[in-house]
Amino acid sequence: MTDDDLIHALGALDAPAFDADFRAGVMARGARRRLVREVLVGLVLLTITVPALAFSGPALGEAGRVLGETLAPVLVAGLVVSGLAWQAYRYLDRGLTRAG
Amino acid sequence: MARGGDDSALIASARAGSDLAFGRLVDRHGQAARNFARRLAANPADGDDIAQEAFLHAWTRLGDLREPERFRSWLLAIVWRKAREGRRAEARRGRREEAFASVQPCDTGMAGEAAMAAARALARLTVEQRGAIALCLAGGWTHQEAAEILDLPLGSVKSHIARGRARLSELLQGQDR
Repeated sequence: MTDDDLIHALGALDAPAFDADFRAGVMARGARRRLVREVLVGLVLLTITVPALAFSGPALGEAGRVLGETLAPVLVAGLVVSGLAWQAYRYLDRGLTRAG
Repeated sequence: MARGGDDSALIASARAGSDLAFGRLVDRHGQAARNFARRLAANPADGDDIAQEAFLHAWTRLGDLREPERFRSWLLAIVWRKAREGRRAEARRGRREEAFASVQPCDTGMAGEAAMAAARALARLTVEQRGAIALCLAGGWTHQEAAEILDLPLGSVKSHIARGRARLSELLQGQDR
């Protein structure tokens, strides 16, 4: 086979020159990923901030201490769950894109 | 070498946060990325998925791109790494290489039988041979450019092309019979 024959055969796998669905898929995945990342960063920041509030409770008063003590365990668990959720999200994201 | 025109302005806008500019980059380079990924992957759908992942990676790493005029080769290097990561992940999950050959056409408008034949033949090559063939034979890149994209020595690329071409020719002729 000549190179032209091989190029012709491989050309059967070519994608279209322009595909609005492909572009939309990239943009949608990018937007979803950015949103999830921002939520996760927020959770991590809360997880750091709230226990700090708890430790500085006496300085911030009773309300700060109670808030910290109540929310800190939940948010620490949230950090772990966030990591798992991120992995699950990435897995599902691929499925969603394909389904779309 | 710049491919796909001058992207400097679009890259600058995308770095500044313009989704529209990045979308234009996807339009300009989407076909090249998908073509390369489809020839590396198990089937066209997996190839498109790899190409999308590569674009997402590029989007978050645009700041690392030192030569904007080489956006396309930088993107294809990401496609190559993503395809290899995907294959390693598949290997970890215990999938056999033979599963690679179970190709299903997925795109409307694609000549399904011809695409299956091409993908089956490519599946019998090593991933390095596929990468080199996809770039140099089907993509028109020079051996030197392919060596940079694949991060392989020039001599290895030439060898992969020579062996891959011979094997591919043999396989495709066998399918014709």
